[in-house]
Amino acid sequence: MWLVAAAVLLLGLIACGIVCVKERPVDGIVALSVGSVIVTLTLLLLAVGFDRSPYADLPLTLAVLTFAGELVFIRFVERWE
Amino acid sequence: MTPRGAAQAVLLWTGVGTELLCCIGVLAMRNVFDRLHYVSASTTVGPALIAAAVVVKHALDATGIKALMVLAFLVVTGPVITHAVGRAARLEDFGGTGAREGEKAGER
Repeated sequence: MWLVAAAVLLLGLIACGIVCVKERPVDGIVALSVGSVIVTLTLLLLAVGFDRSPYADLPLTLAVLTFAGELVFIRFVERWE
Repeated sequence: MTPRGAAQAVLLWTGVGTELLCCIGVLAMRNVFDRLHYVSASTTVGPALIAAAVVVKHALDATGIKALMVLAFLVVTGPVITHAVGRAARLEDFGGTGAREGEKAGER
């Protein structure tokens, strides 16, 4: 169930990818935010599905790094748009 | 299916459905300010339901606590990102974050 849920959750990245490709950069950052949450939750579900507690470190690390990356992208958009 | 298993399934699939709805909302909306509403929901409602499902399964062992930590981080940083993107979009569209002369609330 957990692995199936992780696979289903990844389908949301299609919508995020379409927005990133078609829309303005600032809209792409919005889609990136949602996409990063999707991937974080997918990694968490995979950790639960495989019943490996150390795998749950990955979504925590990803959440921290994508937060920093999104702030950098936002700074770029503010400066160069 | 045990009540615990049923609770896990309901929480998990509700969370997954919420996240997918947020993705559809981001795609369907026309401008960045409308899309930001779905970012807020995706960083709070979905992770809360999925973390709750993990805690129902694992209680407060290592995996359960890590799930709660992921939830806490997403809930805290989500509004920060939403505000920052809104500010950047406002700067891009209107050149400033202050109110323009004659502008009323809800107008663009």
